[in-house]
Amino acid sequence: MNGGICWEILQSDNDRGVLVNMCLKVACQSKQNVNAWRRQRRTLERMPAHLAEPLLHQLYHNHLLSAPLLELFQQSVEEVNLSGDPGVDAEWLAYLGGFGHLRALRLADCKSLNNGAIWPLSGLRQLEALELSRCAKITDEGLEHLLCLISLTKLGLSETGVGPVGVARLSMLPNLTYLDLGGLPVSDSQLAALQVLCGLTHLDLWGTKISNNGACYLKAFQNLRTLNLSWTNITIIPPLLSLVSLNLCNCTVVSIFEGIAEQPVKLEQLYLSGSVIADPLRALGGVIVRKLSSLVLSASNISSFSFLYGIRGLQKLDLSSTGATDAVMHIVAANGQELRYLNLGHTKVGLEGVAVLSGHVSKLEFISLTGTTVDDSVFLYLGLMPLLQTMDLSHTKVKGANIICGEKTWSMSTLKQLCHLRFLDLRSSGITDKSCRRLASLQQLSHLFLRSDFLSDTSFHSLSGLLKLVTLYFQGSILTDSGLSTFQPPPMLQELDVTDCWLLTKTSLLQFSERNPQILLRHELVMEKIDDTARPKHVANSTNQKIGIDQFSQDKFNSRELKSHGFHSSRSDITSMKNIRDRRTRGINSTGNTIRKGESSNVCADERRKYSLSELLRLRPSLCSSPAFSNLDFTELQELLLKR
Amino acid sequence: MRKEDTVKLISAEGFEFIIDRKAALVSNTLKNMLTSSGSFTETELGEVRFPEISTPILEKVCQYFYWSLQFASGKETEFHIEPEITLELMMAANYLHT
Repeated sequence: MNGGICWEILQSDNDRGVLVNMCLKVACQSKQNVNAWRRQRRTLERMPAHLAEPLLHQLYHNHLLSAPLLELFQQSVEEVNLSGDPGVDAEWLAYLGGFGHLRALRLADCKSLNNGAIWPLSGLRQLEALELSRCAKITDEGLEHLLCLISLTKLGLSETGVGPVGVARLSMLPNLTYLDLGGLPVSDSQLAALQVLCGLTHLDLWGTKISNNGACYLKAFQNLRTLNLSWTNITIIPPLLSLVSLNLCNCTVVSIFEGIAEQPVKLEQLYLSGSVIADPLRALGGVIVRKLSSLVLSASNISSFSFLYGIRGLQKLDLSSTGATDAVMHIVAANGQELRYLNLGHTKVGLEGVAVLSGHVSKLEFISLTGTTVDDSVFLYLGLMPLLQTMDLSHTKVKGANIICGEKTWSMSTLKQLCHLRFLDLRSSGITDKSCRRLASLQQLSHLFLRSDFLSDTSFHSLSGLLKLVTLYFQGSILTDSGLSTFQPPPMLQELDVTDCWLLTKTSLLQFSERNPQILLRHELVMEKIDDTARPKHVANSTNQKIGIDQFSQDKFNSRELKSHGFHSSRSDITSMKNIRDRRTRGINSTGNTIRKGESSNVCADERRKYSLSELLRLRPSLCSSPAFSNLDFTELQELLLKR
Repeated sequence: MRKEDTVKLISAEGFEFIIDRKAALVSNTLKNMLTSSGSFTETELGEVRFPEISTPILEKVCQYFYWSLQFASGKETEFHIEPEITLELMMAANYLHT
């Protein structure tokens, strides 16, 4: 789900034998253990790639990999991923340049890399995939080193310092099938120069300067399947018959594929988040929508939805933050046989609209009604959608109690029959202690998200009865220290978020973490600590990548489903979109946020990095005279510094 | 103990390890070798040669087989691996699919 090149997925732990995994763990446990085997060069050389790669990446993950250690893997490794590590520099790449069998190299977000540093890569004649996205110091000059890698099929250059001249020079790489030029100054003439790359199947041109005049050059790419044109000035998309996925987020769209009459179109996925569509019937009314399986219209200006009648097999429909109303649901219901994902967040759809849908969308797995006006009666209709897995009812008027004929009943009882229901979001709804306690009867839930000022210890305790629970959000409540300390966590719980529970103290939070080391506890008082220790490095990296604009819109579906953090409401999607736009205009990288956060928690390391080695050695006497360093040996200090 | 219930594993240096058949079956590779219907010499003699695996590694592998059986029956002890042999053992384990 991360952006960029689709890398062959490394073997997961489960594919390997138990003993192999045990060996891997021991080998990468500590520096001493590494020293015990690092001289066994011959063994390392004949190690198969599917063992050497996990070993290399496990070492990296445990912060044990150094540039010299890389050299040991020269003969055995075919894929290396060091993305997001600012420590990767010229020295690392000098060693990587000697990797005789390297096929794929991923260095996205390695901020230290510059033109000189990537020169050793020019020797990797067998390299097929290279990812350098967001290495801003790499410019046209550095790109020259890569032009001799004619076996390259996948190249990621988004948000690097490459200029128009460099982009045009890419035509020298004839085997490219995947090219990411997002955020680069590509204009019509450069695109014309790239026409020779007729093997391209994936082309990212988001945020480039392409205009309608240049759009005709896109026809040259006859094998193109995925095209990303978001944030560009293109308004008229010429017919591209091979295209399967088209991303036009934040564009002004006049027409798509106009004038193709009855020719077969392969387009299945269309992303139009935040776009301005002048005439929906002209832009979307033609043959292009017939085969669509996924249509994202969130935050677009569309208000007339009659074109939806033409789409039969739609599986994913995102109408969040549009002008969709109850009347539109009649159209959705008429074409809803295959619908699996439906997002109606922040629309004017109300109870009536949901009522229209029920019975027509039997395959629906995901529904979001966040920020709509629905109330407790909605459960009557949601109960009729048998395959529902995810239900987002945050920011609604749902209370959990319903008054039928003057008698109070528990409205959510209809959810009991939804045996596939796993995710339930009731944040900032009107849920109370009384109705929350009854949630414990929804035994099928694995992820529950609650946020309310009125929830207290009793409802928190009742939730320990949800035996399959993996993630629990219990934010903003009046949970007390004693409530937390007497809580019996469900056996499978991995994540507990008690953010904004203002009565909790740091001591009780730390005690809870100590008692339940398997649970990731989130609260503003302990957050930093958890970020540093419990959170593995690769997780931080993947969140970095998640923010990239291109995949941001495309992978919204996936991230909703898979992300353990739960789901963002589409309103927050829009704000983050705006943030990205702001950051882009200011010339700041879209991924800086998370990294900076990590650095701030590690101020000490940064301070030291400010000085060069010689400067630090000069500081030595003054340091040692201070009481803090008085017990530190001179030689120890020198060793410490030299290691850096 | 009957001969059919045991398996002989021979290391690169020619050392022979005679272990219980059910212990050997922990390894998927050995399982396939020993239970295949074709008339392999391994199946008939209950004897497998490992020209690539040295004696100390094969010994450790045999220890693992028994540990694995114990672990499966509920005796949760730790299996200690010396860091010096991790690479060799990993490759042997990979070959034996265990």
